[in-house]
Amino acid sequence: MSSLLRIRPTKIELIRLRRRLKLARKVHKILRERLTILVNEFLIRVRDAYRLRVESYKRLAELYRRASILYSVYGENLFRYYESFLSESAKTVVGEENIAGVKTLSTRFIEPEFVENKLFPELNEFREGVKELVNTLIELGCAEEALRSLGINILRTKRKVNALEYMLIPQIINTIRYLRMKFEEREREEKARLKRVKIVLSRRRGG
Amino acid sequence: MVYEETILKALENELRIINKHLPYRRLSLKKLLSMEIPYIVLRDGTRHLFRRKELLMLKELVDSSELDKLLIPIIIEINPSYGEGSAIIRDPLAAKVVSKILDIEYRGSPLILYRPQLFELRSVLRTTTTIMFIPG
Repeated sequence: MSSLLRIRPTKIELIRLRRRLKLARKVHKILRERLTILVNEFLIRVRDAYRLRVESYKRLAELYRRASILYSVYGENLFRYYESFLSESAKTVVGEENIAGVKTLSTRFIEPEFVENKLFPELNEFREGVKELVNTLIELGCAEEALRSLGINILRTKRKVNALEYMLIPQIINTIRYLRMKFEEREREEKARLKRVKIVLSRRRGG
Repeated sequence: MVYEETILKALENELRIINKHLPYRRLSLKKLLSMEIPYIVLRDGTRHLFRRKELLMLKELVDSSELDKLLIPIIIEINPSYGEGSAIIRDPLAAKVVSKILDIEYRGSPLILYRPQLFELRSVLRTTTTIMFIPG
């Protein structure tokens, strides 16, 4: 692409270009700030997602261990009990979270009403564990979804910042410089012409 | 010529949509705590959910008489003309709360935050703070 914009060399175009340069610089500054914020939010979310994944693996391993013990003691009924807890009373609310203009999914887990089982206290603990695991998994899902949305938006913003920084702003600056040189050249030509006219006129008068 | 006009329009549009994520109306901490699922509606029409954990944390930091004065989300202003990497919190009560969270001395509003402080704050109050861009 040419380093100059194709415009008519007039004063009005120069004024327009100056305005456009001001606007481009303003947008560039804002987008650069936004990019920095998005990158940092991304890093925060990466740390979060990593922590949540490790936590969920730990909880899952612990629950498997506990479940196998409980299964051997109580049999299949335990798992029906567990299923009823998850499918009937657990609810989630899905909304959105906005991180500096980037929309991501946000989910809140509504904790089910818990009826304490006095006969089998181990089941209560197991249910509590499952509840925490579901909560962690929901948070993990949200964190990873946020990472995806942030990643896409970082790429998009970066492209815009680069386009402004390396293409549009230099093009406008070069065109402004070209127009200025053109006008100076015209002025010089004009002066030379006037001088010549003056000489010619004075010769005629003298002659 | 058409190409340049398109770019100009895109630039103007970029400035127009940069603050679409701000809420129409902020709600007090007291009202949000009384809601079953605390949320607000943003200017782009989406519903922004708050984390109850953050709201409870803010409740701990504010006097009970100020619960209805603290407006959520706390707005963090970013204006490149003030220098890159600096952010401002204008609301005096919010500035007081933020200075408590970041463990910095509160010298009245506006509170100026620098980049590391901003990210520390955002990692603690992720849903209850929002960033406003001001084209300088």
